[in-house]
Formats: sequence, C-alpha cells, structure tokens
Amino acid sequence: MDVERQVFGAPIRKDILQRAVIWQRDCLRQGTHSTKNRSEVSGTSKKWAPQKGRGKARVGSHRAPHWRGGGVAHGPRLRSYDTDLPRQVQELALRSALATKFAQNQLVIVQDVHLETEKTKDLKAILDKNAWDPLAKDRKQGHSILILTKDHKYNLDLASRNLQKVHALTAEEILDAGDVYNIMGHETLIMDKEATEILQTALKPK
Amino acid sequence: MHSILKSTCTTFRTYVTILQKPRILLGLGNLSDNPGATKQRKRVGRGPASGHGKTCGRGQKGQKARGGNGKPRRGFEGGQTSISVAFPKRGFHNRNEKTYAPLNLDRLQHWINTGRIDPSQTITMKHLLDTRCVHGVKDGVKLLADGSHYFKTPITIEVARASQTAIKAIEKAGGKITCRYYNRLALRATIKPEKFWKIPKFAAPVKAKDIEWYSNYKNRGYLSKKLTGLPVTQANAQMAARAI
Repeated sequence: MDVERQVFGAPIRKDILQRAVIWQRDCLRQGTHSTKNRSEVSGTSKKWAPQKGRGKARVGSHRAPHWRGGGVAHGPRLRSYDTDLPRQVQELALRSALATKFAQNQLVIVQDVHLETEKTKDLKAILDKNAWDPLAKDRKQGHSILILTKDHKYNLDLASRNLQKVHALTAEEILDAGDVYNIMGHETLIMDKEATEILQTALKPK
Repeated sequence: MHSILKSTCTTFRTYVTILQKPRILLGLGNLSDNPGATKQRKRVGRGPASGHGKTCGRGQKGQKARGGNGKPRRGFEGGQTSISVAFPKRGFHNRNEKTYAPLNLDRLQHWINTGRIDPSQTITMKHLLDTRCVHGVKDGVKLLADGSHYFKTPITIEVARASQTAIKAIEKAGGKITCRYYNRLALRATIKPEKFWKIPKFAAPVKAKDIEWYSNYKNRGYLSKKLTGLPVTQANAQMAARAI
C-alpha cells in the first residue's frame, strides 16, 4: 500500500509533539481538588480574646491560616486546567506523530483487523508470533501496542481489554481528540487500511 | 488479523531515505520544546541570592514601592466625572429578538431569471448569501411575498422563516418550502461551511415558542407532524431534528 507522503512523511517536530501532549494531558486533568479558606471553615468569626490587657499577642479570628484548625491560605481550588491548541497545530502534531512512528519502523498497516474469537489468548498468540508480545519476558517490559480501526470491533475490544499494554481505538477517536498522547505512548501502532485512509484524508494539508 | 500473521514489520517502509529517523527513539519520555520557548517565572522575595530578594526589584521607598499601586480602575479619568457617570446607559437589549434578513419573491424570481440562482437544486441560505440575493444574514432569512404575482418558478427552498403569503405563492408555482430552526452555530455552518473542520450537528429548538412554531405545518416547519410523522413533544422535536 502507498501511503500519503504529506502525512506519513511529514517533518518530525519534537516541539509540536510536546505541545500537543502537554495540551492533551492538561485537558485530561480533573481539577477537583479543593480546600477551605478562612471564610469557609466552620466556626465563629468572633474576636477570640480582648485586644488589650491579656499579656499575650493580639488575636482576631480563630480560623486565621496560622491557627491550628484554621483555613488554608492560597490552597488548591476547584478549577479547569483546559488550555487551547489551534486546530492546525493539532493536525500538524498528529501528522508528526504518524511520521515519527513511520520513520522509527513502529508503524504496521494491515489489510483488516479481524479476530475469529474474543479470547485474549488468541490475540496474544497472534501478537506473540509477530514479536510484539505485550507480555514479553526477555524485555524489561512488554510491547505497548495501539490498534486503530474504523469502528470498534467487539472481538478486538474484548480480547485486548485485559492486556494492560494493548489498546484498541478508532481513527475517528484519534482525530476528534487530537490524540497524539496515545500514538506516542505506544511503541507499535497497528492500523487497518480503512483507518489509514481516514487519517490520511483528514490530515492531508489543504 | 490473519494478514498480520503473514506480514512482519520489516518490509513496510520503502522510501525511508527521505525521512530522517530521529537519532534517539522518540517516545513520550524524550519530547521537549525548543530551547528558549518557555521562560522561567520571576520569583521575588525569595532571599538575597536570587537577585530579586529584599526589595523585590522595586527599588527604595516611595509610592511605587508600595503594594496596591496598580493601574487606575477601568473608566477612571483621573478624578474628572467619568463619561459613564455623566451619561449612564439607558434602555435594554431584548435577548429574544431575532433579526431576519427579508427576501421578497420578486427579487428571488429576478435572481433566478438572470441565472444567478439555480432553481433545479435546493436553495439554501448559503446560495442566497453567496449570490448577494440577501445581505447580512443575522439570524436567518425570512421569505416575504412582495411581488408574488411575478413568481412562477417551481423551487425547493430551505429558510429560517416564511410568511403565509410567501408559502402560498411558492406552492402555487409548484415549489416546496421548509422552514428550519438555526441556532448561531448551525447558521454559520450553513452559510460558511468552509470555515468548519467538521460540520457540527444542528441543534433542535429549545424554547417552547420555537418548538411550537417549527412544529406547525401551517409554517411548513421542519418538525411538523406531517413532515416527521411524530407527535410534537420536545423530545420528539430533538429526535426529529437529529434525524434530519
């Protein structure tokens, strides 16, 4: 199969890849951390001791940040970490990621990803035969593999579910999310022909 | 995946020569931005060794060395009565107001006669705007019936609204008209599809008034029972809009 030169032969921009990954990971953050400041901690705001005549330091609120049981000063608040990345930069990053996989000999394009059963054992046997064993013992860690298809396939999804380093996504999901993180985060990228076509047409520079 | 069985990953790259393989295998672990792309934040008041220690780069005493001396607030004119105090705002903006670009039938007929609009295909607001048949589509196009007795061409047209007389005139000429609801995004996607990376889904109307209007066959509403075959409820309206 001939692949599109403008996509799989795009310049490998390490900096753009970095920006895309940072952006994607920022967007993934939940941001659900929260603390209570001095106005939110329960307790009275009454002056705790008289201003004068006590022979001790002046005190006001009992819930000031320097008190035990007081509020937190400048603590984490609920917030979104989302940032923006221009659509064209996202596309360039995706092209760059695919080109990286291509140049590093980590890209495999297959005719069709068709599994007869939904057994993990069978999928592992196939991967093993091609030396992409996700559980390889001779390496420190097994191969991480991302399989891209046009649609989700029932057998593939079930078979890959319990393999920690094997993930199955669709080309559409990669495009929608600008998903450089997953492409770069797996060693081997396996795509079927349909998925390749989708990525090529969507990512080809206009 | 039998094809995987047959193939191994050795023979796939044939034009490797033009691609420069990175010297170190690129993965998530060794991505980095260009040198100089990011700048370290200046941290003041963190000790003498930092260079921004004691006075934090503010010099010695004075107004500028104190805190809280930022810019004056917005609209502050140095103490003179500001314009917003002297001439306060009056009135209000109606948030529900819609401004439709009017289009009369005689003008549409003229555009067809002069070959600027092709009557054989469905006429949308994009065609109308591109041929400058209407100007400044704000919330859509409303078809009106001025000069309807000149109107003779059977057409298929999709607009935001239409008057009763205009509907009658178009159908009398053997044409078909549908009134569709467009929110801002849908309208933009209709008249400027080239601006979109991916054409978004068109939203169904949410306001009860809109649902009622577009569900009425009298208005040739695209959600009306006669066109969708569903009884009119909000859920059905949304379903129908999605299906269309």
